[in-house]
Amino acid sequence: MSDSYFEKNLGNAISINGVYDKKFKSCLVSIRFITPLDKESSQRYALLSNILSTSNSVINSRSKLNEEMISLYDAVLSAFSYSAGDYQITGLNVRYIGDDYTIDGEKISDKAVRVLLDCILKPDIQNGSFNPKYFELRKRELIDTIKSEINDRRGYAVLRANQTIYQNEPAAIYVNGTVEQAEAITQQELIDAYNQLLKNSYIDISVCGDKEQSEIVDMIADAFQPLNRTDITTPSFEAPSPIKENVAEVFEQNDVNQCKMIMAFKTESDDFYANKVMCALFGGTPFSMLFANVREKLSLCYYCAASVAECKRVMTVDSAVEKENVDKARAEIERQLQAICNGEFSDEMLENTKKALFNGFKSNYDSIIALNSWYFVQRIRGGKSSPDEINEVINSITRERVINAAKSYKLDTVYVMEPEVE
Amino acid sequence: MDYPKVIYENKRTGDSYVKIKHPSGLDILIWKMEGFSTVEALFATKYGSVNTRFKTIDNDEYTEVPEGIAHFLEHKLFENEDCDVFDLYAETGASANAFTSFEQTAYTFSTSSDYKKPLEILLTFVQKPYFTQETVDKEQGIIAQEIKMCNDSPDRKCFFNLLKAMYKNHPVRIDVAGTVESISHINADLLYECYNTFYNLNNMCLSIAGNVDEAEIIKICDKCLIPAEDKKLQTGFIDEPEEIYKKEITEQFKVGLPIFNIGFKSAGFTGIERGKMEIAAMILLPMLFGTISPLYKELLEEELVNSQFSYEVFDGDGFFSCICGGESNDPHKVLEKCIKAVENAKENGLDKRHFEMFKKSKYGQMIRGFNNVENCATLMMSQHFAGVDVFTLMEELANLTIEDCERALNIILDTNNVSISIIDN
Repeated sequence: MSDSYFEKNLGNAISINGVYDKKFKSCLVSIRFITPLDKESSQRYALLSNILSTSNSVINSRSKLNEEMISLYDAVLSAFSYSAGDYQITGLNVRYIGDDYTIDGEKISDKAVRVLLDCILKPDIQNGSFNPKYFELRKRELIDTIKSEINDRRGYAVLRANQTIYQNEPAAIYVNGTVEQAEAITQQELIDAYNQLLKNSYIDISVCGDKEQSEIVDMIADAFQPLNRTDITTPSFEAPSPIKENVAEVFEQNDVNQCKMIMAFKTESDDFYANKVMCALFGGTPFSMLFANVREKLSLCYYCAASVAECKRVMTVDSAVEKENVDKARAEIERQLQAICNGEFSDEMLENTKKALFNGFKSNYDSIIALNSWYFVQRIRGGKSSPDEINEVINSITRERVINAAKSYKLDTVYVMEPEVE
Repeated sequence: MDYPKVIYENKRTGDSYVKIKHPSGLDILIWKMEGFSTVEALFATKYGSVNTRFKTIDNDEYTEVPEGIAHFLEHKLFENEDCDVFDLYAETGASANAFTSFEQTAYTFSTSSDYKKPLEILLTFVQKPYFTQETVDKEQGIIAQEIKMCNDSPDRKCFFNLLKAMYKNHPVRIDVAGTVESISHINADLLYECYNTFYNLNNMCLSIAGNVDEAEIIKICDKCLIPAEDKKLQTGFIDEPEEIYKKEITEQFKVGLPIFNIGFKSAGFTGIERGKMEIAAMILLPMLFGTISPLYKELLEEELVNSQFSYEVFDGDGFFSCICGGESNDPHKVLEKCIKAVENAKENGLDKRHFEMFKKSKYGQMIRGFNNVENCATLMMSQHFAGVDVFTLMEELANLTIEDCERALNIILDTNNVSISIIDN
């Protein structure tokens, strides 16, 4: 293992951390604001991140800001806002090539990070309002984004299914919200959201690159020091989704050629890594139970994959099948889970599944973006384990633990998006 | 044993890779990346969905095969006579995959463990086809679902409709996977015929990036590769007119906002000329359609597009086009303004400052790409098949002048040869 991880508490619920490895040629600084998912504020934070990345009070023009980034060897400034369990992660990233790789040894790191900091801490606000031109632009774009969710039918089906899977839970909240809500957002509401984000959210800052960037770390720490912060909610991501008494079945019609089916299974088991291994054995690899049977043996679908939402203790199976095969596919998916409960899998298959997970974890070492995400997820779990350390944990999972994990899952929701009837 | 070898180097970044001519006929490309955990390998053939017409020294006439056969073949090769290839890989922990594009089919694995065993599996299974009518029939069900999944994507529909509008005869107009109808004509004999034609080592390459040992790779190649006779493969296309086929194709499908693609068609290029045109286009397109262009600003302010508006260079054997697209309530107005922006650039020349800026930015993008093992392996393969090496392209970029770009502008952005594809409700 060649990476070096560091973590520093700046106080006031601000953590600065990062990872560096000399093999990388580019750097990444990520500033994340963590807030509880809330119907009122989630959409505002989503819009806010896009407005903050458009301009700032130092460079108060969208095109000038873009020009600045392009001239810094195509440094990339990007906004994000997504949900993780019952929380929302909102923020900005900047990626730039290392100073050692510029044409004449030009130093660009401080300039790129300065733009990021200005966007967050010196926003383009005048007389108590965000730049009105960009406010309208990004608001219109948010509305377009919500309308266009339907274009990706597979993703849209997942969004729709989540409404039932996480019924009455914050996790059901879609961070982009609705068109009606977006149309009603006011400047004042956005200004309030900005102030809240800076004042009350948990802040996680990552600095990753080819080498230790103490100058950058100090620059960021200095910039965040003067913030007046109170009433901070320390996130606690673990929030199991309650299991429904009866399986919820939802059928919705849409303009599709084939059905998109999402099945959600829930567990009360906190044996997290056993759940993870079981999920991979079930439907996480090209030799998994689902791939080998539902796809290869029965030719029912092109994809049929299982994944876990760990903080919610939910496993979903995502597939696309012909309408006349929906029942057959559902029965086969359930049958394969039962097969794991019955121990109908070889030791070799279990070992191979662990190897596949090992391979996947280890590949995080080769991407600065992946490493940054890896350690963020570790922090969410309250740890700082490296991919190698987690591999050891995975290796210790026994056959019995996998069987028990499978037994602990109950079918909770079946969502099917089906073709419209003429 | 020493085989003919060429070393490609980039002094600025310290990167280098080698190309070795193996006596079996195969070209082997190796990019050693110290400190990286992952090894990415591609065993690829210069055979994609556009190659539906071919001949070799064994036949005088061109043979024509159904659309979607290259992709079908890719699916079928994963089945050996006695086992599933994924099961072989499973023992090694390597993650295996494959893809078919317009011009290539590649079988890949990536591993963070020992790469030698997966490499043996890769080289062996691709050289050992096994098709029966029964397994072909079974695969038809899976691929039909894949095609239907693609048919549920309006973005993909919009893109392929644009190709159908621009191209009259060139097979690039057909989806890589073919159609449910075209794949119904595929049988085991046709698969063997295409396999024997295109999966000849003289038409293939092995591309590996990561922390690997050259001598070890060659040893495995010596053991696994079955020498092939060069059959002088020729692929041919029915003549494609220089002009676009149709000005517009519009299709109805439920979307949030209407989606559009606009394509400027020009003749195809080969070898280094293609690389030069690609580089020029990669600078020209952001200058004309990118986020800091006057056109983008105007389109945004007039609410004609949103930040989904993007552009790409789309080129290959016998085709070259510059495409932009996005979401709009008035795609025809966007088309009109795009044409005007191109004509304006032709008349008044390009902005020197922006030109220098985008050269630098493209350079930064390339450097970032060298951070990524998968990208390096894929880049070596695609550039090899295109007849150039990765670093020559970087040199071309360094030497590119604004005059080169202005020349390219007149060749690759012909405002009289533009098609539009729209998907709306």
